[in-house]
Amino acid sequence: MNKRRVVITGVGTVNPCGIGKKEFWNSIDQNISGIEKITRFDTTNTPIKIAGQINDLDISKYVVKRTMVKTDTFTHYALAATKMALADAAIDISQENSNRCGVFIGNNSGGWEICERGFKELYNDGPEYVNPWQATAWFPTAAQGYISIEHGIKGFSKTFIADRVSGASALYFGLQSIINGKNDLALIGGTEAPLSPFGTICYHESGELSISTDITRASLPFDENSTGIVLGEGSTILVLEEYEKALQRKATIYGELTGWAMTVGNAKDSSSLEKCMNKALVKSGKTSKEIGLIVPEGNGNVVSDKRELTAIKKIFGDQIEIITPKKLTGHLYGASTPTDILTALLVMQEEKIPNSIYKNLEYKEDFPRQREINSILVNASSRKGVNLSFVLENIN
Amino acid sequence: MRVGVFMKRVVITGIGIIAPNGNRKEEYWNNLFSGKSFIKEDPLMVNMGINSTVNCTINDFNIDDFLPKGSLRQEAKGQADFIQYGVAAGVEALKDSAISRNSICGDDVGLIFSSAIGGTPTIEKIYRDLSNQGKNDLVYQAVGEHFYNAGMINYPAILLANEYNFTNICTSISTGCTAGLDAIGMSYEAIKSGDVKVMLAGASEAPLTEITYATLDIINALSVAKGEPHTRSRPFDKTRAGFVISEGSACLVLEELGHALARNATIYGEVLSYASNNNAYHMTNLSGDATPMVNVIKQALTEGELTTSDIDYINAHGSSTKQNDLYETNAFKSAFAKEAYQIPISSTKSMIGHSLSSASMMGVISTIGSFIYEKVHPTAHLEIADESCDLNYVPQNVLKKKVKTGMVTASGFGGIHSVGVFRKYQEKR
Amino acid sequence: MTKFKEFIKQYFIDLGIEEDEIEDNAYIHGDILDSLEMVDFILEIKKNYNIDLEISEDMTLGELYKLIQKNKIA
Repeated sequence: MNKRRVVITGVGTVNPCGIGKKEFWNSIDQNISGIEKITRFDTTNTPIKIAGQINDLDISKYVVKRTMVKTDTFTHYALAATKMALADAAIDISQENSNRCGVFIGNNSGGWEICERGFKELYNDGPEYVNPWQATAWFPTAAQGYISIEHGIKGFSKTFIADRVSGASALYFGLQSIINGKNDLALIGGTEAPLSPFGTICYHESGELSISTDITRASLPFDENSTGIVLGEGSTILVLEEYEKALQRKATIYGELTGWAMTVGNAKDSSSLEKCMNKALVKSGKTSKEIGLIVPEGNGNVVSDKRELTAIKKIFGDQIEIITPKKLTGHLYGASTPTDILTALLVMQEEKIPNSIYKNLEYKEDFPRQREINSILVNASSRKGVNLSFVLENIN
Repeated sequence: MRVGVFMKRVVITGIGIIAPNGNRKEEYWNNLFSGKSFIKEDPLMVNMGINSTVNCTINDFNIDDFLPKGSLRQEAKGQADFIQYGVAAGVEALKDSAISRNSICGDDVGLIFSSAIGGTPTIEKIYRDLSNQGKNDLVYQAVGEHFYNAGMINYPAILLANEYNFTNICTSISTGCTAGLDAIGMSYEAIKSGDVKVMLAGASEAPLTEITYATLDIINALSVAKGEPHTRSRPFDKTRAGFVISEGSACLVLEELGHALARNATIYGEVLSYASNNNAYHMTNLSGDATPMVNVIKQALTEGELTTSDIDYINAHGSSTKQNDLYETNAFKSAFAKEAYQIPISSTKSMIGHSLSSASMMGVISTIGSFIYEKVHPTAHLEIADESCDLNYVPQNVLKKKVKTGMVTASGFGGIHSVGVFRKYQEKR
Repeated sequence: MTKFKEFIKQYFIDLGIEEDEIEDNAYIHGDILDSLEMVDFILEIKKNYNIDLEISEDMTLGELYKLIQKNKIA
């Protein structure tokens, strides 16, 4: 039996830099930031003033009203990204494939709007007035549940909470569900909607967030003047498919996931991250020299960035090129790694490194932006030291 | 491709449990086999004026009893209850498995934890503190890292990984009431794939707070059964009327057989298979026919190269809700045909309620107890037969039986069904 | 009573139910609403009309209107 391979055949995204892959690419290519002053709610009494915010999303285009009223924003985002991803992959979930299709979602903290609504109802009106959607809208698995119901997806599926690596965890286990033969198809990604008073307070208390009010100086991955992580919201969903099955239906293939690894270790010391990247390289059969670009965790937290840079330099030297999408979107937590993977896929497809998020270790004024890149490494790491690395290859 | 000879076998070599009926596994098993319910009336629920007034709580828990003085204890103490329970059960499982910081190669050990709703009581308290008891809009005051950690279901796993220097995979899942069994199943698969040799699978739940009660009570999920408080979890009984919410944590050490034998580990049982799916039907309701659950049972049997006659005990989800117990009964009848009537089935929730994610992991520990003690614990308070639920649920009294192979089932919000099959360890499978 | 009927109809529409599903002979629980929606429906009536309705499994929308009329609730 041949070793099973996993390819990506569809993408969907709603994030601060765009609704859909085209708008997203255009924003990162043209240096249009999604970070702005928070307008979703009055921030007078809360500490976080700016964020990667989604505007102008007409959710009714993606979610039927009857589902919309019962679900929180984080589920809306996931349903919208899912719909786009399935359309992009040009695949229908049917009787034939539904039992071998899974949903793998990273989400950190469930629904903040529904959480606050429930507390208000409980304390202002009494327990007999708490809305009946609370039990199925608040918890992080709501997105998985509604995606499976909306699209009739019945295969092995799971939802992950793991801080900044929630989405990366979903990708790690989701892709393995295809490698191990449990699924032939999987919708994999993450979603996050923390922009509420209580939600932003919670993230602020992690001690890692920027309280800056200057949108031009706020999200500065790998910059020693960085003031911390800028929070963002959104969802990215990827359609992963077993390679032979994708070939059979003549699907458009964005890329293949050839390497993956997860490790845990000290969050200040770089060794566990080095080990993780090396494991992913070994799995993919690539040497560090063959990697053309890195999409790092690179989030603007000085400790995390310094640790990652040390690890990257040890393995790749100081000529490797890096792009940092979080600079324009903020940190999407559950949705961050799926969005980084999407960025990598678009770079391969467009054969272009977006200037706006480019970061070279040895800064060069001029560099060839337009070029073919065939192997990209994507990293994710959490605040307490969990690391994930993925290797993506262009097989077209 | 199923080449039995080369297939890695996965065994259970450590157990940690913090449950309403025991903070040590022996106490847990003793109470289970005695059929004693630990469900009580809760003054807070009574005071709230909601329909359900009973729950089941952890008693006499003090983290100092489980953790030696040191940084882990220090760190865990300031955190939400589910983190404290999870860390305590984890330490207990590792100790039970004779694993210490330097006794094992950290690269060989990974962790998958789970919780349905994490630190909800902590989050509720913070909301009240920042909103003048819920009366006003939120006004920020410094709370501290424990707020963020209360939502981080992977926090117990991270603390344990750092303490023991485990460096393989480390993540957590939040798939509600199937999550504990899912953590076991995914740990089992990680070992089988060869990526890791030892896994700590955990589940921890401490949901007992007003918002949880109100949220579940309003949708009629919680028990409104009549009678003495301790009898109100009544799985498969005609008068069952909802589940009893409870709390607790469980952890299991899963290990590749060769690794366990090489270090002379105590082997409690073997994981034979795991399967999980979505019913893609409704977030809480179950369809009339039990096809999704039948499918997942069949998948677990196929995966373990088992037939229906191999199963000689089922630890059921048996939540005591009208719809679940009927649905599950129908699924067993369809998957096992006539044999469904022969297999003893019992629900641990009849005595300690439903602790969401950790309930299914406790169900696995109940099943291990059956391997060891050659007894099947009863379904307590199954007094009035329901003509639609007519299988052998071991009503009220313990059953003496040599159990060789047990199935554990779980269903949860989001339309998820999970099944695991476990076997008493024997050299030849 | 007309007001009550309008209220009910608007509630269903706000929930995202198609107008052609809202018929007097339809069972409220089953034909129109699922069990969670039933809880919300009863809650909304309670909030707006200050009554605790018991809606049996087999009550049609028409029967609800009759019940309301008979008891002069709205």
